Amino acid sequence: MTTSDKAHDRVAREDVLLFLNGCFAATGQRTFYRGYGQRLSIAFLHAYMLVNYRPIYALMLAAGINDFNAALVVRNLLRHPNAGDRRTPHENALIAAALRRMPPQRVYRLFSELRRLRVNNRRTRAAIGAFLRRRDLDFDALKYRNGLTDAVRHSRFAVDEELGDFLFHWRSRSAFERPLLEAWRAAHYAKGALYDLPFTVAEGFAARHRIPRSEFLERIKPRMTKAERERTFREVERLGVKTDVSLARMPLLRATTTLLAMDIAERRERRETLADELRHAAKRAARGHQRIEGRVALVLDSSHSMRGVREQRQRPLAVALSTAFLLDALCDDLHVFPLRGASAGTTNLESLIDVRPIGATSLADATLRALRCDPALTVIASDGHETNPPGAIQAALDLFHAHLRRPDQQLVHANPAFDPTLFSPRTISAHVPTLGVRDPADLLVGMAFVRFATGVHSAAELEAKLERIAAPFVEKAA
Amino acid sequence: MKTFSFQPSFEGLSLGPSQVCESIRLVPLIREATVEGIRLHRTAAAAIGAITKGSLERPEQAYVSYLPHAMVVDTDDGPAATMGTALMDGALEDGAHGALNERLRHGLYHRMAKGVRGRRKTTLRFLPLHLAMEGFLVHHFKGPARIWPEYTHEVMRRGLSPRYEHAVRGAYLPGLDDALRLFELHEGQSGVLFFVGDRLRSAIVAPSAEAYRKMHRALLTDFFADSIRLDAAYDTVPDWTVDANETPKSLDDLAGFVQRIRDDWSEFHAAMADELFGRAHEATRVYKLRGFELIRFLPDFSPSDRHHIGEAIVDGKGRLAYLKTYRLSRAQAKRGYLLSLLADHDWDLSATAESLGASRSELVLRIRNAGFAYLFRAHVIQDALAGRL
Repeated sequence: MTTSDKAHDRVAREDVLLFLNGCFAATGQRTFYRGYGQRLSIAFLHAYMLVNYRPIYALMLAAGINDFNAALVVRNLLRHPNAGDRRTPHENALIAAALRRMPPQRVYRLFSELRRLRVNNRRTRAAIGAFLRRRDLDFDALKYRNGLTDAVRHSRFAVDEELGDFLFHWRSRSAFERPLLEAWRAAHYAKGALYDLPFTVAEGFAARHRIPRSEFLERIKPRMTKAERERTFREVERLGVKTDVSLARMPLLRATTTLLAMDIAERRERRETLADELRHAAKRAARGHQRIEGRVALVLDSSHSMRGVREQRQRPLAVALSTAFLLDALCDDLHVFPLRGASAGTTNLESLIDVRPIGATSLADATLRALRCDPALTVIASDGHETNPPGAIQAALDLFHAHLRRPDQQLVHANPAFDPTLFSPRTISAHVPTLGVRDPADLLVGMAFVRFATGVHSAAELEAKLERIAAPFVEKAA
Repeated sequence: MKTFSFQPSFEGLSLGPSQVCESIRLVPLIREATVEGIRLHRTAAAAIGAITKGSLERPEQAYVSYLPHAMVVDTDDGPAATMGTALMDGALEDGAHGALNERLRHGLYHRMAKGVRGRRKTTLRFLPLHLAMEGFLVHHFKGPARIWPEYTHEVMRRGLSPRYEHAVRGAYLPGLDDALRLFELHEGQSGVLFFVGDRLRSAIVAPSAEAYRKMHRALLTDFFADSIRLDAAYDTVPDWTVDANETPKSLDDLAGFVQRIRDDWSEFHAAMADELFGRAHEATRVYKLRGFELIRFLPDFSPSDRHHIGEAIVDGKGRLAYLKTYRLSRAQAKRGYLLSLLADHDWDLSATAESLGASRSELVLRIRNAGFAYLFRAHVIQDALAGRL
């Protein structure tokens, strides 16, 4: 290999890792330390990748990046449709698979965006058509009425006459034949009809008919999906309606978010049960992932800044807490080190149930405490903003790396917050790879990429590797 | 009024590492132990002024400003749960409050600091920072005691009235809201040193962490010298980096290294606040509470330094239970300096000019330029401008 090849590989490696990190962590929403501005920053990364590494860029759809970024990738690929003849079919398959995997509201928002941008090439129309052909359009017409209308209008997708009337001039009919469409029409005039509609659609009509919330929730219960029941069960229980929702059956991150929304007194009172339920949720999340051998230490940043912002309350802390439970499910010897707590750390996750995001970040102290228990893998779950004292973690980790680190000791920084000014999550040390983590499962995917970052793989190898991931991704969706 | 020397100290407080947000640096002051026997509350009551001398019916001296809130000090051991609201009603009761504007509840306070009726000198209401500012405004407020021909009749009769100063609210400061929101309060944090463009603007100390938490956001309603906006707009503050050139043998060494960083910060911040904590101020007692006293203090106004005015509650041993300071702008400090100088020479222009090594004309122009033209008769200023005085 020549020097320029090596340099090229290194640049490629750094670019791809920067992008990948951004794609796991950036959501376009605000973060605690940075206001708006994320969209601009991440849009630049996407444009850069699209121009320079188009094959890898398209393959990212299969790498488990978050939905916000997947939508951006699809948008950019369709906006610049000329991929070269050889690659186009492959890209189309990736796009179709990604659209099927994404939540429909995001897909419809993407279609509306394509319409706004006047992207209406043949590939775009084909992608929209392929997506719509697999959907239950009556249902989507209720739930995503504007999105579906935009998509149909934009792609000139042929819908049957009844649905066409429903979308574009529903008042012209005195009745629809298909039950869902008819229920929607009738719900404008009759209270009883709205209970045949999906929950979120019925909610609007219930407000319009001034139906008391408790009565509405009681009667709509059979129509609610699992996610809807999980989202509203706290409210439902407050109104005195019984539910059978438990944290154990939720996805891990939703379970911890729900936990953190409970008040401290309740959490302390039900500490054991809640911890058990979270362990169950974690066990499910860990399924299919490789177990981690040896001792693992987790530094859990519970400082004030981990509370996140109003749009996503306590999300960073929830990610850190989920990481604790997930690691607990994946290894036998986990020690957790919250910022304030016993110096020996804790192996009992029940003590984390009442964690709250308060106080200054003394990350260096907690990390050194963690390293004292001599772990094979140390995970630092933190937004990377250290305040007590600032800069100590970097200095301490640099010194640790230079003088005390054993070669088999692995350290990873899991950062739930994207920093748009850096185009990536904030790092804490040059010797500890930082992974943008929106969901604890990302951590496991990301750890595989860390090896790539530390120079084990080259760019070509990564492409090959991504291809291997992409094949089942496309197949599964089809 | 009897004055005594007062130097604020960090006794009982330790300085934590600062947190920087653009041009604003906040240094936490951390208490190992809460000050016992005193409680501090903040009560919100929008008033437009206070009668500081005389009765409400026959005011002799008034302080007019927007007064967003009052502080209540309570040294009673009994329960104090509803103190805040009770006092707010009390405060408005002293005043002839009306409905000038429906939306702004307003009134007048009686006295800057006033004991609460029906209690034995254990509870006190005062107006934070305005207490200190009034102390500055009444500095040599009486004017000349002897009749000198240069001063107007008005000054002879009524002193420097009306004496006024400008200040801006913290909320006008770009970035302060963010800086306060992003700041991570330390465990036991009971105060803060507030720097803008690395210049100390204010020091705040509360008796307990709980009391401070309630005062943290109040920086937005406090007022500051107007030059603060320039500091905020033009100065960005570097967040310092740490040098890591040592060779630790163990993790204990590393822990010691981190602790040393913390200590260095602490020492450095103390040095940055030397202009307030390293100097003696001239203090007067405003009110005596059980075991504590409320004082306000003025600097010596020496022309080359930066100066803070402020108020404090100290215990018998001079330890701070409460502190709030305001840094004077250069123009304000100069006014204080010139007044002190005149007063020291019994308002004799010739003697004052001699002490400065300047001519009488130059002195009069300096006083005029500082904003005190109204002290002199018109012909005095004209003569000074012509250099004929």
